[in-house]
Amino acid sequence: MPLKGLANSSLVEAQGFRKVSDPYGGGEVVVIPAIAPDWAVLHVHECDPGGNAFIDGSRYDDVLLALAAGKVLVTCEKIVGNDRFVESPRRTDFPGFMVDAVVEVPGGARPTSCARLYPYDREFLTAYLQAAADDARYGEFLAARVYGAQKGVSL
Amino acid sequence: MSLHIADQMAVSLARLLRNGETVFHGVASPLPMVAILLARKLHAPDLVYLNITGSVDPQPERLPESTVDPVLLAGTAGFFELKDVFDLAARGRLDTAFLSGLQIDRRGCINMSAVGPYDRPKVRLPGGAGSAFLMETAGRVLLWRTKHDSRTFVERVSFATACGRVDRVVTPLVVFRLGPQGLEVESIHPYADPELVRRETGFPVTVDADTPVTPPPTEAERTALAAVDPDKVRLFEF
Repeated sequence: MPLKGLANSSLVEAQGFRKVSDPYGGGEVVVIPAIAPDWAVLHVHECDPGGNAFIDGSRYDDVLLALAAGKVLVTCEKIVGNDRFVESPRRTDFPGFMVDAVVEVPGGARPTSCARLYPYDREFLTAYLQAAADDARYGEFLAARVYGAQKGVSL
Repeated sequence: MSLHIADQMAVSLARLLRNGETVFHGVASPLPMVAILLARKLHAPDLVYLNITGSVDPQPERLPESTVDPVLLAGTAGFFELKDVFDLAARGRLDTAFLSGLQIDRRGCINMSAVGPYDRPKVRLPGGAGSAFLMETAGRVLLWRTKHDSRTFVERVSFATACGRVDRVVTPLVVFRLGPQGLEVESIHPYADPELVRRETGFPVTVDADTPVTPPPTEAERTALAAVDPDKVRLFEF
């Protein structure tokens, strides 16, 4: 994919990006290889059982990720009926045929935020940051706060 | 870090913004967020405010410390997403982008990638996100950094994550302008000592009694700053 900019960056050499001559006369452009992940795992606000997905906030690169990945796993706050998507199709962020699996996981974005529903969990993230400084403490943290978390109980 | 340094930086950044221009900031950018809202309240009411959440001219009720917080969606009437911002910049229609760097060199190049060899770094930095692209495509780039020392402001970065259209650099001590010889001191903040600026800058700078002093925040600027940032989020980066 050709990209304007980037030509002055050390990243071009470090990443082995190539430059080509723009066949339409725009000079030299950097071309970067496509990123093709095997899986994209995305958390959204609503899905129907067929994988149609609605994000009620910033989408960032989520739609691009869904369309670039080999397979797509979507977790959602709530599974709703297909009629919700049929009655207002423009709010569908990516269609179900691109999705391989749907799982209803309320709170699935925690400890990060889910727009309009819950903020990021500063206490958890701070504790993670501190614990991650050494392997032993990180193991304890995972045991207590992640693997040891009770179903239905907030992180 | 005292409040007046954060105030001076927020005000100095806001003064650089122009009415009617289109301005973008990304992640981890509390000072640019405050500066943009301040400029909109003062001299640039028609500035178009874009940011990484995809909101357009948001009017947040309280300012978040994280500039990807959904709080920054408040009041937007639509989305202009990051990919749209990049396309806008590629078309030459993004006037101003705010960027920063762990290290900034005399040429205005920033390092956000690695200290030491890129493949075996002494310190792996967070990465440049879109800086390498925006640095060469935005109309101009305003850099800010809340630390001014000789490890941050270096003669030449070992790894140039991004190089390009830097206009000004605002630090706790000075406003740099990018001239033909590289970064030069445009003004020194009222409380800063010229000797300190020379010592803490890792390349030669001219700063003496003839160097203009950055005007301190005016009464109107202080009042507007207190109104847009009552929780003093501008202190968060210090």
